[in-house]
Amino acid sequence: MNRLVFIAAVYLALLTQATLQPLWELGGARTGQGIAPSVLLVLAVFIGQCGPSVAALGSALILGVLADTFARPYPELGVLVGPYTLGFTVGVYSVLQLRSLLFRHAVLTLAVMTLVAGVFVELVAAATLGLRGLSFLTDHPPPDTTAAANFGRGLLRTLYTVALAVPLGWLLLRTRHLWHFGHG
Amino acid sequence: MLHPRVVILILAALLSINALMPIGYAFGLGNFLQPIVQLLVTPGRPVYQALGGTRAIENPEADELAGFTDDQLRRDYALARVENERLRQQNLRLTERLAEILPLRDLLAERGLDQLRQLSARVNPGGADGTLAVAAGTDDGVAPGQTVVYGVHVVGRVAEPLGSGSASVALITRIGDRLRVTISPPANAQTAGGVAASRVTPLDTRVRLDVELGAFITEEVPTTSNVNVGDVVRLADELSFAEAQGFQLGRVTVVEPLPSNPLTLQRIVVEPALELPRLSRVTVLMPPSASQAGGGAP
Repeated sequence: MNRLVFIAAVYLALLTQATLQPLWELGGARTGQGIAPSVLLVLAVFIGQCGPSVAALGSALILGVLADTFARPYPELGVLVGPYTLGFTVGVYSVLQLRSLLFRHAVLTLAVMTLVAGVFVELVAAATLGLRGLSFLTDHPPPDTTAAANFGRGLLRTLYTVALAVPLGWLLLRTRHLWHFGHG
Repeated sequence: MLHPRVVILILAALLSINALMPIGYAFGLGNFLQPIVQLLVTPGRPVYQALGGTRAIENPEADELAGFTDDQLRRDYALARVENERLRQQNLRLTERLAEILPLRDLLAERGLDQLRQLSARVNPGGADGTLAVAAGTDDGVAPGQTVVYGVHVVGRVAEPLGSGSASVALITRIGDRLRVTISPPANAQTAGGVAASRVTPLDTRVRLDVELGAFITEEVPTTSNVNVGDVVRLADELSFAEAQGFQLGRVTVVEPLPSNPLTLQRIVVEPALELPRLSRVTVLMPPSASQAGGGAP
């Protein structure tokens, strides 16, 4: 995989994720509780679908850490790295397991894979945050929410991301030759 | 040599463990990365603002925050929370102190003893069994035999030995034997006959100390007396703890017929309303100073 292209793509995804949030955030924009799609997830799924498995998992780890900096389950304490890092890794791992069953270079496949990976991502993230609430661990759940509510919002976010995955996936698949994925 | 895939999974596992760490550790890495990410996305800020993504500015109540970055606001918010918690604790301490001082002042004024000096003293840990070690001594005017109270509750009496900056207080649950007391319903209670508590004549009796029980017992109360669990027991002894007349010794916790004479007498157990060995602060009642006794000096 061409690392320069990867770095450029991650940076563009980060920039898009950060700057276009006011444009596509739905509901609760003033309170920071709105639903916005994840460009980072689409990129992770794209690499997971087309790239070599090790590069895909490594990319998922990096993109997961970046996704954690956008998620603010504890607004007053700052950024918690971990829930989405693990979620992205598990989500892309599921893509790696399923990709041989599907036509890998189609936009529709990318959208379906985004749905599958997104469910895993949100499930793992909600479970991790839920574990923080257990009394024998940290006894420090995210304020004003529950694990079920987190997962519900995550599912909505995933559906929104699937909708974004169609145009964005088409664009990414056009650039496939720049990535030098090889036969991963 | 580990396979790169294993290394990645180990890293993911370590970062997920980070998410399960206590507050003091879990947010360190994220708050280190956050400014870097913010710096990276700085070129996109004009677009972000053009799209209306300036929440603080959109909110008319938050105009004064417009010049602050997210990190500054978060830090200020965290500091404000700490300060808020400190003030809350201070408020609790002052409220507790007021609840101690005001009834004491009223009671002393009611009994014409408001010329007594009141020395508030901290209780040090490590008092012997049945005593309190207080951080006040002869330098503060403390002398053996002085009465020690907490609010309107009698605690005990200053005992020997006495240091210049420390003193020992023998608890009343250790030394208060054969005390004359009055028993009356709480001020806001209604008696069985519907009579207000203030109109009931207090029962005058004596209590003996049961050191093992840490309570006072009287077996001289006629069954015809209207004594109930929860009634307030106040000191009324002219010889022992004379200065503490009117102060609460405790509350009635048991009222039962006396086994040897169940038809005419009842046994009453009185326990202190406070856990005396756990008090963190007490007040020593000291005689008025020479200038106060003379009534002259301001």
